[in-house]
Amino acid sequence: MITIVNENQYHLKGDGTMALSMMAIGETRRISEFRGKPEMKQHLQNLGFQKGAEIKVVGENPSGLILLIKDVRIALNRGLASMILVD
Amino acid sequence: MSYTIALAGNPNCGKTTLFNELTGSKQHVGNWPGVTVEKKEGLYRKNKELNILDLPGTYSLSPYSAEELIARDYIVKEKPDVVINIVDATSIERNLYLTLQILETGIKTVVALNMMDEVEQRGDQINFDKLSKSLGVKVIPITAKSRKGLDNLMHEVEEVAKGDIRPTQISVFHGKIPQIIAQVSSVIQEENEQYGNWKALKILENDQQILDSLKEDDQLRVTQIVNQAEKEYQMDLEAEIADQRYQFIANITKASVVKKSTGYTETTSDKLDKVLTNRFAAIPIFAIIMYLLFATTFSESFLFIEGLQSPGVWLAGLAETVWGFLTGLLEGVLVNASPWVFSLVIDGIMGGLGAIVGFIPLVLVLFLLISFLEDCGYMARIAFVMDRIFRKFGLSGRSFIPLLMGFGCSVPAMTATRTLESEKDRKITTIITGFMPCGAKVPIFAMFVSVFFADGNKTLVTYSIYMLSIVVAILISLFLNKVVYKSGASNFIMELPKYRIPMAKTVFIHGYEKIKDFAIKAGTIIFMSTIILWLLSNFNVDSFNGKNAAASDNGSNLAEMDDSFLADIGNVIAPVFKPLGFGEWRPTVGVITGWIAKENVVVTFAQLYDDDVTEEYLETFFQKYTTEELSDFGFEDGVYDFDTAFTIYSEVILFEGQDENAFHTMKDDIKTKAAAYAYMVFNLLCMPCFAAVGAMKRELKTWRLTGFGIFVQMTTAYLVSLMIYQIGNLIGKF
Ligand SMILES: Nc1nc2c(ncn2[C@@H]2O[C@H](COP(=O)(O)OP(=O)(O)O)[C@@H](O)[C@H]2O)c(=O)[nH]1
Ligand SMILES: [Mg+2]
Repeated sequence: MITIVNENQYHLKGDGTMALSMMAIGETRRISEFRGKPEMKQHLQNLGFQKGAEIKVVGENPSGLILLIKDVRIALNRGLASMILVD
Repeated sequence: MSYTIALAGNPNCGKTTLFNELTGSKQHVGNWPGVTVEKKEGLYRKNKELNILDLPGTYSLSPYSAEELIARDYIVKEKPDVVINIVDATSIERNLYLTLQILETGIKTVVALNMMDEVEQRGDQINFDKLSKSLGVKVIPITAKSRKGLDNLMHEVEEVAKGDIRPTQISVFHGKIPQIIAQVSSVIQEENEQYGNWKALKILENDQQILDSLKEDDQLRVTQIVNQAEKEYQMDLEAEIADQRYQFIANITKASVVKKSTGYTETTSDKLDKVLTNRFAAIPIFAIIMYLLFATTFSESFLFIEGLQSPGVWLAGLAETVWGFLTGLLEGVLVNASPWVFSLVIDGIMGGLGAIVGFIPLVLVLFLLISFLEDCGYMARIAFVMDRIFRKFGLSGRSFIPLLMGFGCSVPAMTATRTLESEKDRKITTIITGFMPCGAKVPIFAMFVSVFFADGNKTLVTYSIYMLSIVVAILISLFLNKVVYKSGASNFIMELPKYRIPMAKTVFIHGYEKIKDFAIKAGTIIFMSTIILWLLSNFNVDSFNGKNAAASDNGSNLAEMDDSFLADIGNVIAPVFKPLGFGEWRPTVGVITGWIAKENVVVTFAQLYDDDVTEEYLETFFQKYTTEELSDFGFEDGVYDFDTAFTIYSEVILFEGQDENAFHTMKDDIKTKAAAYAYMVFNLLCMPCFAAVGAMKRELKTWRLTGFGIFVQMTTAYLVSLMIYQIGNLIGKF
């Protein structure tokens, strides 16, 4: 289980991995894994989504999520967000 | 001595702005990531020895989209003398990822840290010397928008270009990676060791293109090395490499960048996004903006004020007046020329081109507005918001922009599909863009609706056509996705650039670039085709054996259109359209001339039904207008002659659907409302004009695929029109 202490600090107990799509607005976490096609994985890496990168959800709507990663806003659809695991 | 200087950087880092400021050349600046598709060159204003080249925006040298490949191939294969790597200093960590990859190639590089104004505004501090040392190349702060630091930058670039200053080697990778690189590099055995190492690195990154370029047994050997290393060290090499690069970047930015506030602060862009991409508000706001976009372009009663013309309509009227004046002048010059020269110039060229003069301003206004939406950053949000809807029929929200542009002209619209990342989306979007009711198709609807639906709600009929184009586009896209490509929507990921109020100059350059394709089409294909059309419709076999000349009173060997080659062609094809309700030669010829250019259709009708458009008819028709209205149409100070009246009738009155009683005999060819509607729909959906087919070929690459696209368009047009006519007839019987 995951206990969020505050926005920038979190503690993991046991297996705290979850899908990025499950994150709430304002939440900050680190990327742990990507489950998808290698080309997309590479593209994600190019955009700054490497393992351990800190991401914050700054917006959401029915199309998907808006993330803040390395000072850049990136929009992505929920399907893709569910393939990105965070902890 | 001349040097090539290439500009490379992430999308939206300010590359185009810098290019424009350095070269003074007219070129596009946009907020749509990856919009700079072609290589653009220009000489440095202050030193013509430096030839500056704008590469497409790219996030890395491991290319993901077709555009990114251009940048990578250029840097590695063409080898510019110096690369200026532009880094958006407000998101330095992400931007430096590309920087490291450029440095890995060993090319001479100068880093330009752009957007320093925003950095200063935030109160952040960057130690350029430290950063420069860590990267092994010069780092120069600039603000491209206000030209700050550009002299300094170019001074440095010149020095690097002329001197022998290579980047200082930096060691980014550690652990097992350097060792594996060396192993692979020794297999490849490139003469240039650095190039060999670069290739090896790319192979560790799974770069198929590089791997394919190796000899077959080398391919096997390096794959073996990579696989074994991955197994032995239990790591995904590609991820490990990305990781080490970002680690390196994190370390050097920690040492040289001091941020005033480290946490998250909500920016104006974030606040705007809360509204503009809001779950509930996004679509209504979007609808209002689209309404304004189209009203500003096409509306006769702008902002609901009766009689107030929108800027687009007003400009169109102005252009028509000017064209009418020019035609009048030419007529004066040519009075004594031979009949066929007069006919070719006045009827063929001026008449044919005159048909498009009226809507070039409409397309221009539409494209300026679209460019504004792109440049201010809103278009990226629309793509995101629309993604949810487009996803349902197998496309991505990014397809929205080309389709929207399709309402103006499909030629630049199809070109705009290049910004789509998925090849499948590119193909499907290109094909369905042909269904959009482009500016040139609008006169067809205007004329038919006014003639056949005068008693009904004309606006509703016109809107139904627009809706139909969208419904058909959706259905065909679904069909192509499910049946032909057997796949669903691709994933959507896109950077949302900061909202910025674009500079007017920028929007105009951008709009100009879009209209350029259209103008070239008008200048070449339409020009050629008007001449061909004129030839086909004015000549027949008897033109060449003297019989025409003998029969005419002025010795002209021109033929009447009903008796021309064009009529023969129409007669052969006409039976195909019998089941659609317009299987006569004249409507058929209309369809054919539409392929040359859709705006031809209405003018062709005026020429084909010229028995209806007699001198007496026109005289009676124009009598109901005041002198002022007549001069608005383009008659000069009360001068009235048949030719002018005919031209104005076909290019103004018919284009705007102002004559409900046009063409009595047309109603013998197209007898019912159902047939008329079917005719509009066929012209809407069938193969677009040849210029657009050319654009289709450019985007789809092969003739086979282009042929397939045309087949889909033709079949769709035929089936939908068939259904409309047959069902309409059934309903009409009750
Ligand atoms: N504040 C600021 N904005 C800039 C600067 N340089 C470019 N821009 C803006 O950044 C946006 C993207 O620039 P553009 O040249 O289109 O980037 P490209 O995609 O790399 O070609 C535009 O709105 C520019 O006006 C700069 O130095 N400071
Ligand atoms: Mg650009």
